[in-house]
Amino acid sequence: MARSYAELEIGEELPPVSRLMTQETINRYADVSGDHNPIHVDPEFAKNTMFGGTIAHGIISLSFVFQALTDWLGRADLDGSKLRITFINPVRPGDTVTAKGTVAAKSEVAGRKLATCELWIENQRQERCIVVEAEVAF
Amino acid sequence: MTQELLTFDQIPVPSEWGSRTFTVGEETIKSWIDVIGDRTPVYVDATAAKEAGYEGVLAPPGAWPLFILDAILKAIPGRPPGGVHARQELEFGVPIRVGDVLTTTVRIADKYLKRERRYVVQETTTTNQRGEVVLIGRMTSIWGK
Repeated sequence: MARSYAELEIGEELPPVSRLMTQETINRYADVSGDHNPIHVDPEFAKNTMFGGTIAHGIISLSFVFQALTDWLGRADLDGSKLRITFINPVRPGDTVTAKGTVAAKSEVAGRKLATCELWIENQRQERCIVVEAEVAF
Repeated sequence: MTQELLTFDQIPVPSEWGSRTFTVGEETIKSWIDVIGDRTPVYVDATAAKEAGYEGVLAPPGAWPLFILDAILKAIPGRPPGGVHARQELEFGVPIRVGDVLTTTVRIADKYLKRERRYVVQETTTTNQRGEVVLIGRMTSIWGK
């Protein structure tokens, strides 16, 4: 059941989505996307970079933010919505990443109902890896 | 043949880089879902999609890189290695359905130096086969060279 604009409460928290990042997931994403950058898939190459080992494509972790948002909204699309995404810290194989979020504001502009949500991906040390400001249209 | 690198200094601003077409195949979306693990019925089942009020199975909004990043990487050749995806803005239009034929137009809107890092802003507009805008993107990359 899709949530309505009227139901939303400022400060409300979105149900989190957690996943363990594995090298297998990274390799499979590389195959799906065609992005085989060695920093993601070649441990020998990655060992000698500033990261000291492979890192996950930021897109994989980001997708859990989309999942948290659409699960919470109870709808499958983001028609009319805007997202501003900043990648801050890398996610490594073995990290557990969690997508979290909260409703920051509600507004009605020119007949459009919008909810501003702050979302982020954090790792098991509560370090934020990705932050997303979403303007969700209703 | 070695691809010549497109260095920061060589990038004309603004500049148009053409367009790329991508068909949203059922197998591609299934592969994406297998990796990501979001098995919302509307993304896999036509009946569930119809019951939810959509005309067909939807592509998950999180699958946007399949439509944008691939187009950018192919449209702008010679990207130097060592680049980083720093920021991304997305504006969603009508939902993307499995079977849609999407066309993404790529342009470089800006470039600038900040704290000795080279930033390049790449804008994309993606439309479906009916000419409807499905996605507008603004990707800021730290350029490798």
